[in-house]
Amino acid sequence: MKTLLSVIAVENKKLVRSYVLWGTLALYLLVCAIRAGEADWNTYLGNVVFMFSSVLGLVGFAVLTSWAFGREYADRTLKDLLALPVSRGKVVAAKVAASFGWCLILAEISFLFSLFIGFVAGIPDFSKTLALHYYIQLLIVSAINLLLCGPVVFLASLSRGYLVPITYAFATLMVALIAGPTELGRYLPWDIPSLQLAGSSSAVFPLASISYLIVAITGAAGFAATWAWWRWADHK
Amino acid sequence: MKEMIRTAGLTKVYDGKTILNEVSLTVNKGEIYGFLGLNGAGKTTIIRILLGMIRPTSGEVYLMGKKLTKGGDLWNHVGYIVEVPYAYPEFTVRENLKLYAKIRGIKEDRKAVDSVIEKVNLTDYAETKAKDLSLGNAQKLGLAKALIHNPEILILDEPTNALDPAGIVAVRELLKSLSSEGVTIFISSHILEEMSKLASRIGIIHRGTLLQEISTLEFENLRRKKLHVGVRSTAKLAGEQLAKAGYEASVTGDGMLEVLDERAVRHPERVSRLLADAGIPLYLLSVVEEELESYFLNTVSGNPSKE
Repeated sequence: MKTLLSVIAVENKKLVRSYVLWGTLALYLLVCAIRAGEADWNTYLGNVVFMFSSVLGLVGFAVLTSWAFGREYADRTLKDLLALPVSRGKVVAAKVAASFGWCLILAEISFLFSLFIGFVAGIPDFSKTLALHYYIQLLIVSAINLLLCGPVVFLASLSRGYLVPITYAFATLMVALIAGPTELGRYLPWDIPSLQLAGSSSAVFPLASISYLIVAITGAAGFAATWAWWRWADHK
Repeated sequence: MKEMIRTAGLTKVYDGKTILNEVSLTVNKGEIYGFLGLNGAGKTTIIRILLGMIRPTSGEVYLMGKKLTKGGDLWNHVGYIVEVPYAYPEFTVRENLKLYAKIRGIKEDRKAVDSVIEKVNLTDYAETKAKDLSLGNAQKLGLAKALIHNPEILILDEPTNALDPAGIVAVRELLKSLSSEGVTIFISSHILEEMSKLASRIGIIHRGTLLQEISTLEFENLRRKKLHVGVRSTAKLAGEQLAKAGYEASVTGDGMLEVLDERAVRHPERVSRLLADAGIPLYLLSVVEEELESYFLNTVSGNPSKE
């Protein structure tokens, strides 16, 4: 456990020192600020969380997680990492934990920033209940999008870089936009975050269990494949 | 003497092609084992197997007498450089080393980092970002990473690559000093003369097969010696004089005479007297020993080995 915490601390430090993390945050804040001209808080916060259920979650989170894995290939530091006396499972777990932690932190900073900008812009009709509702939904759609990063980290490992997983993330976004309004949407993992948000006025978890199960299976398959690849593949 | 590294029948097959073929070698405590081979001979494959980065198709690896398996604490006793060492470019030398110290669980990481920076002579560059280091200093940083936990076994792939002459001497002295302290060093290099100055034993691998293992002492005995004779008059005339006295001599490309006869090598003064008596003045008389490079190439070319 102590080793795992040490590796998480190291992975955290690598992320904190990377321009990708701060660039992503800057982009998030910019996008949140741009939407501050909405007519009321319900529309404004709804739009902010919708962006996290779609582009900022599907692509933004994928950029951060694939960077955590792909940079080791780009910087050619992977072979040093593989030969260290730390199990590869722990390296994978630490990378996932550090990047997921930062994805959540960025989402929360963006939400707080949106509240601040909203007050500065004088958006009318604020209520604590409304803010809490959207904060909970932000956490739920973020969690779903983080699970959807399972295939992303696998692709980063398999392709030895971050280009393929980021391309994959953009492709999933396109699929989500095209298939979202159709009946098929609730069975497509990348549509489930936005459908979750869309139905959240009636229930905290408005979708059928099968939708959440599909997300869980997608995430588990991606993480298991990543672990297996790191554990079993020959690293030439 | 305690066996620190042993491979038994190590074989690796990639896509039907045999990269390593039944390689069995042993490195004892405190030895510097030089591993020689052409590009693609299988040097890096062995190093990667020793480090657990790839698995052999068959055969076994023993480190410090224990069979190498997943997990365990054997890795804590091994330091390594695999090919060109890379570091996190945005981190300074000190920060990079701190990261590795933390992952390795070194308690007094600050002390360990300072000590290893001094050991590899990187003090002036401790606060320089890795991306701004010269190739030579990047290599030293790689060496520092390999040494930070005071390992008992060092596995180094081309550690003097990209170093300037002063850097090469510094690394050589450092490795010799570590060896004298009992550290076992397994080193591959294509700088053969450097290896002949450093290694206490040499293994030659060609097309995946270990052709020969010799100690530096054995190499001294095995390598060919010849006498080079520089004459002012025509080399041809001098050659005829030597032939009359029973010495086989040939003319080299730069107009000197080369005598392989063992009697001439042992008693060059006799050759000198012979030519002086014939009125042929000498300007050079030198016993030349075959270099490791030449010995290596002769060994490899005489063993085409199987694919």
